[in-house]
Amino acid sequence: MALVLVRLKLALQRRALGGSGIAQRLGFAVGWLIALVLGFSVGAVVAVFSTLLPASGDLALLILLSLVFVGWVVTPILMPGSADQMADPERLAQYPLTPSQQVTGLLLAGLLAPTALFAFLTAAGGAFASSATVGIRLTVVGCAVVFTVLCLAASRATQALLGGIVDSRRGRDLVVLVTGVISLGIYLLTQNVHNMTESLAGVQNESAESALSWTPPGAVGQAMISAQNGQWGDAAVRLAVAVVSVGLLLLLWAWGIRRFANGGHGAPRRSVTQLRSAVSLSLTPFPVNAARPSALTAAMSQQLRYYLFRSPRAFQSMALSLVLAGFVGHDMSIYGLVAESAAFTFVAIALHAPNLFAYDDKGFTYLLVTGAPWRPILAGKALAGPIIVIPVMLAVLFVEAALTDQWSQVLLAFVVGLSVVAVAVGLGALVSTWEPQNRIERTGGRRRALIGVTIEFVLLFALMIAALLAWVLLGGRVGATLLTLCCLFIAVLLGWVLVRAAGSRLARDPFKIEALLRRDPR
Amino acid sequence: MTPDRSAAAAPDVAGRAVRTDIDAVEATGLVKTFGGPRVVDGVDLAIPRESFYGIAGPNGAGKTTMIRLLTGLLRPDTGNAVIDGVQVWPNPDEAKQHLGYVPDNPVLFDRLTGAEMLEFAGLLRGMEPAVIRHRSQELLRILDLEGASDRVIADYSLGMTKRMGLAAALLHSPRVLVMDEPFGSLDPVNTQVMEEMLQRYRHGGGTVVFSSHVMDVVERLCDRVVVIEQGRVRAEGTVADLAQGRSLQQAFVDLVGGRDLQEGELGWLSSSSG
Repeated sequence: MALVLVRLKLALQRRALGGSGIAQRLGFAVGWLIALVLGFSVGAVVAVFSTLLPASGDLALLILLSLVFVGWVVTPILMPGSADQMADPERLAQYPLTPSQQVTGLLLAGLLAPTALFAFLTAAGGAFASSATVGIRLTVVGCAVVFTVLCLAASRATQALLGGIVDSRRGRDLVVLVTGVISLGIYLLTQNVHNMTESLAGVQNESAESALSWTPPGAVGQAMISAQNGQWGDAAVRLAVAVVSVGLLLLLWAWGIRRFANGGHGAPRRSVTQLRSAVSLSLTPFPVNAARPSALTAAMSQQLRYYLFRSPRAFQSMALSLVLAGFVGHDMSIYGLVAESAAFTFVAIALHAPNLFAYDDKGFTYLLVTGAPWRPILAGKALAGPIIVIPVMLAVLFVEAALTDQWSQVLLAFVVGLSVVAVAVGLGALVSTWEPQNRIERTGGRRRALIGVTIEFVLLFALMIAALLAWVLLGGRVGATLLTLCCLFIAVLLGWVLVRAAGSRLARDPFKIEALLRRDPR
Repeated sequence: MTPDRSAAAAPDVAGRAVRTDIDAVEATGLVKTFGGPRVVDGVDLAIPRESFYGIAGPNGAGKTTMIRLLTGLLRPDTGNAVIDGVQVWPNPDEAKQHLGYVPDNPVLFDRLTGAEMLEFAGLLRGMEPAVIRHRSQELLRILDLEGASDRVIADYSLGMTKRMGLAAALLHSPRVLVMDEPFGSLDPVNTQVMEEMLQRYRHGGGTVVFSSHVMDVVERLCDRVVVIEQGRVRAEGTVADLAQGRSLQQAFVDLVGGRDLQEGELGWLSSSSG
């Protein structure tokens, strides 16, 4: 049975590379070649460190192995589609395989992969240190095997658990949110890498090394280091930690499979809730409700709900763009509050405004079915972003003003921010009707969508430069307040014209947009 | 094809003027290709007002494409359709005001709750909030979705999503209701409720057009049936005309050609040798 799964694994690997015939075989070979070259390169670095800088090389080895291990674990979370699908319990559940048979077969099959080769070669680098004896070399190779199995078992256990979770809508939402948090973490890490390096230098290497050496990947690394130092007892203990970890991960993996078979993977049943009060409508908020609900307010409310938690992908996009905008705005704060406001709104709005239908999925077809008025719908959707961004911008400005005592600049900065929002919304609406992308089903032309966003960025940036030039040339003669208000008026007018133009364009041929958003336009 | 709008009109149950002298749906020479052979190949139809009209045909016959052409979701290469006196092309949005459409797999904003979805549907159609509220509550109750009205549609089963699709399609009380495989994934109780609803809708002046593979349902509900094969009308008429004393299922198989297993084929299925 294990051999059947190994053959299946190899076949899936070839298919995953896409193409056919020579291209497929070439792709297959290139994947292995890249893993081989990269693995040898990193392994060689480890060998050099072990030979020339044994003291500082120890911590580097532990960090390296930990990073590789984390990579294996987070890959199924960050990119659920990237892993081969045979490890998904749902796919193998239809065959008469026990969990232990599945684990054994999939473990062996998983070892025959370029990624496993890379992990093995990386960990085995120490075996090539010139000072190592035959016994040490063999121990290091053995440890590398354990490390590879450890990575694989951790990754597969994660995937098996996710395989059940993603069957429920809430599970999928959770995965999207975790992905967002991890992405944000990686971004923050890269932003602060310089500071971290400096901090790390100040930390006692012993404490960091000691902590890492008891983690499963670190224990493997420490086992190699102890063997190289002749501390065979410590090496055996560390290796035992790693082996026990492998065993636990395999049990977890089998439990994930068994749990799936028992049907314990779905979302918990919700208690039946009662119908809401008959007095108020459900979708549109009270102030709108009390005034005059319409197609515009309905579309705006729908989009707002999607941004605010209802659709995890929409929420993720909005939250990430606000965080990114915060960083960019803060970087620009050295040029003053006005520059910060412009930069913040530029990033916060321009990142998601050009794809207003991104999260509607089949909902766009519903709009088509109803024959709903396109102009108000587009305008409503376009207004949802600013409703979130403008209060956040105001909060950012107040915080920055309080920190830097620039209160006199707040109003001016706010008006400038509003001007940027108005133009960005207009340009975004236009781009949304040019090349939308369905970010739920991942359909639509990515290349053209990217071009659209780039054009939006360039145009918006050009308009901001033009406004700045006008400011410099006319500011002395007309007065800053009047000029700012003129800028706002022109920006709002331009935004309004652009949204209307986009609405008309959409109304002329909504079928084109539907075809782009759906896999099968029939 | 633009009808004479001065013709006699009678009020429907909602008090609206309804023209009784024209068919609910008319299609003339509908043709559609997707780069290859014609998926719909010159279809002519006349669906009488206040009727239950079935569209039958084998898989891939072009039923769904034809429905999309009738409902203004797809532009025909040639030909046109008229819904309740309104030419679908070039007025698809106006025609859609007169019809409700429930696809096989309903297309809805699945991150809205059931109640929110109905409000959204009503506001898009320009309905008054009080009317939306009243009708939504009634539809949710009758379709047994009251307890799920605060849950997002993404958490609904397929049967619940279908019922929600029907509620969204009926909310504005259209004159023509078009449904693609409406009874699949519904349990017997909900099937009965839906049939009763549709009968009541029909008696109130509405016209129901639906496609189905289930000939028993077509035979039980429909006044007239059209059989589509390879994008063309193979037969059209009353159920009795088409059945001619046989079951509609048998008549359908005789019409489009059945496939009989040869003696000895799949013989291994009757043994347990493995």
